Amino acid sequence: MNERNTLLAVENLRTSYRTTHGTARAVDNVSFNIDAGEILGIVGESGCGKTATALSVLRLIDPPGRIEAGSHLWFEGHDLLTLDEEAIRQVRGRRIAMVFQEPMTALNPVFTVGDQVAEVVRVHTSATRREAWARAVAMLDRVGIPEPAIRARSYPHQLSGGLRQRVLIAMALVMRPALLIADEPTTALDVTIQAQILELLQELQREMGMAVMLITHDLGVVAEVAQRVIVMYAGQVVEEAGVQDLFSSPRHPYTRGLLRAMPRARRAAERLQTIPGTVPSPTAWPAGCRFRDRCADAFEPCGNPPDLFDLGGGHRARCFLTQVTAATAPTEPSMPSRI
Amino acid sequence: MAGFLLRRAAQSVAVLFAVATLTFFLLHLAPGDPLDAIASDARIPSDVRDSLRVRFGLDQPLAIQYARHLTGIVQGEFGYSTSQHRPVGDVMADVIPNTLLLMGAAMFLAFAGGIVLGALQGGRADSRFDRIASALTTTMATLPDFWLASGVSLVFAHKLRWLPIAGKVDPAMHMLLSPGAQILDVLRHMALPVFSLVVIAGSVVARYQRAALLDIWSEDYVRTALAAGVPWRRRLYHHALRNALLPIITIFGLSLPSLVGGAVFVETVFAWPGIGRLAVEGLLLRDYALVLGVVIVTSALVALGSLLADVLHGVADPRMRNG
Repeated sequence: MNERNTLLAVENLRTSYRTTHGTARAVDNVSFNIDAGEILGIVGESGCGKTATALSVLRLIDPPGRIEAGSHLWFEGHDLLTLDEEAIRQVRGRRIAMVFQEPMTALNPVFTVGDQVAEVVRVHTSATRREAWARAVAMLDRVGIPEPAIRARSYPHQLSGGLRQRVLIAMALVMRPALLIADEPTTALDVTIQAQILELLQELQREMGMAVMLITHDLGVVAEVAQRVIVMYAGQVVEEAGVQDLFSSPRHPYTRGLLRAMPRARRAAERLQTIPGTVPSPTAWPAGCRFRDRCADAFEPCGNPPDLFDLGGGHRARCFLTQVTAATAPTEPSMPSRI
Repeated sequence: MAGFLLRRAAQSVAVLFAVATLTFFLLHLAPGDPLDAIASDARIPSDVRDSLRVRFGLDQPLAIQYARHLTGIVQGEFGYSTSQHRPVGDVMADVIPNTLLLMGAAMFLAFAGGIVLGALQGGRADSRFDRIASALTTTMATLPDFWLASGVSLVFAHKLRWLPIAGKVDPAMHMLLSPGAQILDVLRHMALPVFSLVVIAGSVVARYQRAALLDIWSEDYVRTALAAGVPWRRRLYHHALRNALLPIITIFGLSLPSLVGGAVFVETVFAWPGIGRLAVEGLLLRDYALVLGVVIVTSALVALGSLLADVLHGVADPRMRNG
């Protein structure tokens, strides 16, 4: 497995929340790898489990949520799930960092932004207050904040959304982590700022050689920056492919639906298509294929749960249609052989 | 900032004037006057009574009395206490330090303890520790202070005889003690009244602090700190508590007047020579000057308390500062 230099191996991750309506398994047996230095996009609708997956990796799931036994998160020779509190604390912010969606609320309003970046240095190193401050200012400069030495003394409410997101990126990257988890980092920003932030993330990724797990519902963002993509639906990985592959030959009907729902400049006049229906409730995932009720191509085998079939070339899809030839498809269903 | 302080000071003066006026007329509306006690004594000749009336200015029309009293207060002259037979200024100068000592110690301990306990609870909400502490503080916060004070006095002073039962110093021995032992004597006398006050007030503070911290604990920036590897203790005291202190500052400002207002019941149970007890005695004896004096000093502290709370808010929260 190590020939691709795997940095993080997520293995059978299951994260569930106890609710009044029963147990909701937000992440259900998710497995994937991230290689060192690559950008992996994770896409899907709200409620598909992508954020829960990201939070699980840093063990940020709060009760009543929990990561179930049998899950593994292999990272730098350890299973993150077996680390004690102090050991996982040392991973957070130092080896794996996270940037959240809401720059307006993700910074503490009563401390200066410089203090908040410097604090990350101070909780992970023995740097003095002065050294940590200097590193913070240098990092603020690196993420493109003008006049960083002055801006470092600003409070969050004195900065725009775009600048705040840059501060959060500075906080995440000041320890030069091996993996950055970015959860919808541009969703809350203006379109023009979005492009700048994405560009900055790409630039820093190349420079620092870190891996990025980019979580988004925006396939446009994925197309622009990711090398590999995971499509999630109803708590499962439904398709995984290189970014070229995914856009040129999507194999799961859900992925195709997402692509059709995406606006493109070349067909601006066309009406965008939507995927009918909604994601099923996580307290009651349907038996069989979870996309069946919304799928125009559903056929008899879809009553059974499909595996994530390996289609070669790193392309995997959780759909029985990938296992039948075009001629025999929906009209003459037969049980496909599983891999 | 200077303009803000000036505006607030002007407001405070207006409020104090209104409070003094209202209190003055309410007192005079109530039946009886300061000379009632001697008026009912048949042995006192009527001309003595009349001369006393003249001496205290009670023979004048209400408007004149009001004008005189107000002018006096503006000049720092609070009048003569008819129940203590001394100038009100002297009476207050004697008892206010006692009350400050008792209430200062009680408030400091109540806020320090309540903030720490409430914060620890909020940071570990629904843990066993939190549930036990919540049950305790809810019970304590609802106890009547006179009941708790009597109970504490009965158990620790009367039955166990660990601590003195009343007063501020040992009346017989205090003057003979060395300075160190004198301080210890006062502390021993303070212990039970302070304990009674702290248990109740500290529980109230802890409950507010727990609720405030719990609110903040689910804020995005606390999660940001968690994801950045900031340890639990630092997230609690540095990130969350700093934000969760804002509502407590308001409560602190509101409770500042009790520093001088005193705690009537607890002072009474432990015969603490404080102002609360004195003011109530004065009220019952229609000691107009004393009651007015206490009310004005207390109101001044209300104004000062809310001003202090505003200033502290500005210190704690950069969003409240101008610029």
